[in-house]
Amino acid sequence: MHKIFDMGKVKLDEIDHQILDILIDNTRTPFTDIAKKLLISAGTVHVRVRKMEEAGIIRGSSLTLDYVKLGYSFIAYVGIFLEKTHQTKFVLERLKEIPNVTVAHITTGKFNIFCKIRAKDTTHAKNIIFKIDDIEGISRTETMISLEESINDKKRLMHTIFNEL
Amino acid sequence: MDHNTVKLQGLDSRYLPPEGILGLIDSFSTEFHCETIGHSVEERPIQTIKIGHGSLKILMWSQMHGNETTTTRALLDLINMFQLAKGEQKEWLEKLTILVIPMLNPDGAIYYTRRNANDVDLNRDAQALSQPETKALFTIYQDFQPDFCFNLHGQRTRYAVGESEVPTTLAFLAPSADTSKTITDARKQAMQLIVGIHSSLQSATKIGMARYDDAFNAQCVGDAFTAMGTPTILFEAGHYPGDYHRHMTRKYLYDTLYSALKLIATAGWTNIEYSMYFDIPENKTSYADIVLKNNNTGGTKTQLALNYDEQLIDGQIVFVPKPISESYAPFYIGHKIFDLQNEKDVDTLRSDTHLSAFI
Repeated sequence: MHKIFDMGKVKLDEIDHQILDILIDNTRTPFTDIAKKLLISAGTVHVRVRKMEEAGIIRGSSLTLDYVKLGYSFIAYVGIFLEKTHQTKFVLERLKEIPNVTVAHITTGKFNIFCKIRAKDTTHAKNIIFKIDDIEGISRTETMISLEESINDKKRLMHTIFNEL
Repeated sequence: MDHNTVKLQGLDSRYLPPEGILGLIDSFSTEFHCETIGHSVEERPIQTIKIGHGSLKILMWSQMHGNETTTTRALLDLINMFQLAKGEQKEWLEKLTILVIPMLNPDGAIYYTRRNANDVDLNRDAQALSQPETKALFTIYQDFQPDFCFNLHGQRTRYAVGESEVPTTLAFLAPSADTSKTITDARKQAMQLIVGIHSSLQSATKIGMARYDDAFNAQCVGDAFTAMGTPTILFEAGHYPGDYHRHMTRKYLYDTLYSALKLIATAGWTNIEYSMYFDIPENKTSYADIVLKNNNTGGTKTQLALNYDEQLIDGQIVFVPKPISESYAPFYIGHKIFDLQNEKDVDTLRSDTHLSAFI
């Protein structure tokens, strides 16, 4: 069972948890549908969601696209070696100028930066890799091409987090 | 006059420090007016050579990036051509006044670096004018008030002509004057000239020629001069297959400058349709110097691309291969390709000082 917990000033109760569970599965569920399901009023749903937004628990809801349908089915992971680690910030700024770089992390281990790129096809990916290879301060890259995106889902983790609380 | 007739001795190396041109400038000074217009960060003189006495003024500068020497070598051959000239070319000098800065960045030239001694890229200093070299260039630009500017550079081996596999030996640019890449009068004239140069070279040779990226950057000198209303052409000396010392590129660049001056002196460019500029294929990244196929890194075979790092060792440029990109897809085309599953290729690599490390 959900426990009531304290997040700073905010306390979440059973109703909040149930609302979150529904929104995690589909952020666009209309408040009236949530209200019907939980046998509460739409006004209550609205108030609860606003409370959680103001408390910073819900930061926003994001748009999930079908990249494959939009023609962007190519995913690659690129490990980046830097010439000098003090160039990290500059290199990250340059990576940010390439919209196809969707994720970048400063990492321990073999690489200095590890990033994800999304492209239309191999030729498109090639041109993105060329751009990355040409960034001043990058000495070398290693590209791993995704064969299949098998897991890309934060919902299970979100449910787990709220269940644990 | 063809390049063989005018080619100067002693300019065969990619390394061209100031002392390599001092003697030549001295010899030119008997015929042409030579002057020191400023000094570099480390107090090396920046010199000019003035040729001709016509009303059309052309300002040319080379080795703004110290390690881009091919254009300087070609430019010195061009000056030699005017020294030897008798007929047609002598007449050009009635029409033209050419002011040449053969080495704008003498400190970078001595250290074989792109940047100057303050580690500043002079071609990103057109607004700040923070460096003595850029200040000297802008002062001479203001004093001389050129009708045309030639901005002479060298580019790496990584480019091909459009989507083809033809390496770019020469690239041209009519720089933008603003972010929306407006075709201003100055830019249009630069485009017309480029179309003229391109077609005259195309009929004589089969080398790869491309159009350089025209994204606007006010810090680039060519963009700044175009914005100030002077038609400016960026010339990039690129790679000719197998020609790492750029002897062939030097010749083609001489031909390029020769045809550019001829077009200006004879007004042969004024009726050229500028929009044909956009028919010249773009300069596209495609090449690495070396590609090792079937590179085995624990399971999956990858392609390893290496580029030569140009290192200055005892006054010589040594080409040391350095890995730049490894992938499971053949992204780069190699100027040289070795298959690590082919025994002959492996033997070749084994006997190479640098490449044996990659077997």
